[in-house]
Amino acid sequence: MGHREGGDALALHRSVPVKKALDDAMIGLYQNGERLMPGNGYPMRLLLPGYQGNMNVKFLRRLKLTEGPAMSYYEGKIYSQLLPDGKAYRFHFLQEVKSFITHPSFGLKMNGPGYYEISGIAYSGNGRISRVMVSADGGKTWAQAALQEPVHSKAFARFRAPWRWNGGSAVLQSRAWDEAGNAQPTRAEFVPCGRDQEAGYESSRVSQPALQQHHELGDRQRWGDQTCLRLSWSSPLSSRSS
Amino acid sequence: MSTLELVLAFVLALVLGSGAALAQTPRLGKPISEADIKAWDIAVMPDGTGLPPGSGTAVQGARVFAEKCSACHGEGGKGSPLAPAPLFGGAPLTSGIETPKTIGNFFGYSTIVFDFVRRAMPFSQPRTLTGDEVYAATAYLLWLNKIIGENDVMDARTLPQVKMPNRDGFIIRFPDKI
Repeated sequence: MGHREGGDALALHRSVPVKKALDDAMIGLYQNGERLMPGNGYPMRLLLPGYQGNMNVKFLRRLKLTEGPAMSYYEGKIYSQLLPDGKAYRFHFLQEVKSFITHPSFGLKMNGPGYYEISGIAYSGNGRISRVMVSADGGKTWAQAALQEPVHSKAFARFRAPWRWNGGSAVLQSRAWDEAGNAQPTRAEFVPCGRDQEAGYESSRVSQPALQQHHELGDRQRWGDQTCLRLSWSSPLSSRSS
Repeated sequence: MSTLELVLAFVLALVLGSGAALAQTPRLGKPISEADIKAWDIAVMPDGTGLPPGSGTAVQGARVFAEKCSACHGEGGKGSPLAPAPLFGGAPLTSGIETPKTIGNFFGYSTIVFDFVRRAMPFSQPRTLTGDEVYAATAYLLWLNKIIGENDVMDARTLPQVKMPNRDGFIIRFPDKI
């Protein structure tokens, strides 16, 4: 393990495997052609592709090579995810396979039955996304979505699939796989890593911010969160008929 | 891999990387002195490596806490509107995945308490506590959680030996990545 520490008031420090440091870790000085903005960690920050955001220490001031992990407050308490059996994950820093649908999504006006594009984002902290499957009938049947090239490792990959909407209720779902063969877990599989199924997820606190995205059309439900969008389409549907 | 090999691997990477990087370096910053690095070098490892000189007991820590911590953490660490979470106790961790984590029910290592108090507390004036004050405050917090006695002396030797109740409560999520 190595040890990375920021110059913020709390001197946040995290342990990072040496394997990762020697693989693709970066120190970021610039972003989009200009120096890092203060909120992004000026003058420099750590960047660990595929790892959870909290590992990318802002205001970086020190790297220290250590024999083992420091078990800092942030890894010994805050970012150790408690599991239902009372054990907790330690060092669950990897962003695992994840996909979500961005279109159609909340606020879109659906102009009646017809062809629509289902599109979204997939990524994996393990490497490249290799496949995304999409369902428009709640998971009964699936079709392979097209991936927009180039598909980069540990980066967002855009997927698209055509869909003919008949105007009724539909549950849209996406599921992704990466080149190492890892599959995005189903919601039932994922629950042990996050919140209760009904309560939804708080993706910033869990390692695999989840699985199948539900867009329920024509069904008035509350907003969920990033990983479980239960959308009400009654408003767009009424405007269509008017 | 031994520690020495790790060090060598890391140094090698720096040397190899520096040639190419040098020409493009934005020439930011300036060399830092050993003394300045030392002032930042405050991390305490679970085995106690990095613990400074000094000592303290819970009895002494109660005074430190009342003076420097209770404004936010409440009298006796029971919480206040500024920092509502109690610093002791806590429900069994099997009570659900949102169970509040405390030193008593969650922390795997006593050194986490010392390291965090020293680097981050008091919130408005971090790094102002003396070594003795940090040891005493740490002892007080461990005592509040019924982990040590009120007169047990915490220092660089005794603190790492404190066995935390939840020491074995953790699973390494990705052992192959470490």
